[in-house]
Amino acid sequence: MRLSHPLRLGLATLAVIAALGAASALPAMADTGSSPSPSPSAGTSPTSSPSPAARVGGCSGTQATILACIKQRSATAISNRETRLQQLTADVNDSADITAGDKSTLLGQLQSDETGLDSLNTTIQNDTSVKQAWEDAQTIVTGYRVYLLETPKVHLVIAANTEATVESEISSVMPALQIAINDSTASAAGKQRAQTAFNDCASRLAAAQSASSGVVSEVIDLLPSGYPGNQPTLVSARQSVVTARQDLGTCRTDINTIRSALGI
Amino acid sequence: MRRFGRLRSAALAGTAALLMAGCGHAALTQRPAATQGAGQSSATAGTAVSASGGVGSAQLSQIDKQISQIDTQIGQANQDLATSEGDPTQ
Repeated sequence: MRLSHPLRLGLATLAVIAALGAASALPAMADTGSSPSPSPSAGTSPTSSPSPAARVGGCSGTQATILACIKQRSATAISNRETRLQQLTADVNDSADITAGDKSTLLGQLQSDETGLDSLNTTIQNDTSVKQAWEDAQTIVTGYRVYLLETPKVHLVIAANTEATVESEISSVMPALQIAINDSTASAAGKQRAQTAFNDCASRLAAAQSASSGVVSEVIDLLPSGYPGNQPTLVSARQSVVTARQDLGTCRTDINTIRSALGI
Repeated sequence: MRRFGRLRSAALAGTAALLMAGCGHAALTQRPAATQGAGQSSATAGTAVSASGGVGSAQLSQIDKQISQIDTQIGQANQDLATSEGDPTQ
């Protein structure tokens, strides 16, 4: 069947639009934890010389323009991550409860990331091809996972350390609370209420210790290369921290109950 | 005169005893758990512990402050785990 001229023209236009759409498809990135595709898209792979209308990631234009764009955006992406790493370093240094060992480990990792990103930026700025620059730019994400791995890891380690401190402090007052109950001149009902709260606090404290004690060892050595496979470990650790927090909160309320029941 | 001196010495001794009792109170309420077993009687721990519940307000305030810090840290972790890396070339 021979199509009329306007119809042929319309189909041709659609075909061009479809081709452009495919060409502008963006590489899958780390938002969902998946690894980026090895090349931006069919027809605009950095392995070939892009046409004037080529697009790589968010960069388009001639090869020289794309290369410059990738370099500029990579520099910004690295700078943003270094800012985050410096904030995380401050968080670690500001924590009054983190152990010396955990502090040293985290600070070492953060410093190593900063050094690595500095070096990576130099590499990207010296890249001479779109393909190489684009591939190197992907490692800003895949090689460091600053936002999705390092950041939650640092905060979870600090939280677990703070919980350990609270657990120790509550443990230190438990014997004295029991003495206060034993020796109280409060009514039998008051003493019973205090003892019940004490027993609950002791149980909650043990549960909190059980939940929080493994968090640091679970997350502190997680590596960017293991992501996204190790992401569930972060989620699980977060749940352990939350569980411990809830138990500690209940225990703290129990202490108030004890003091109230005994009138102290 | 000698009689007055003896009275003054006795008063000083009494003051010293009171001061020591006061120090004992502070030491007991701050003693680590390892030195106080649960169920220890007041005869060995001292009535001062019973009177205060062995827990000072400052100590409880510190615990409350740290629990609040944990809440902040959990909030940060929640936010961290809900974020994304983004595309460095975008």
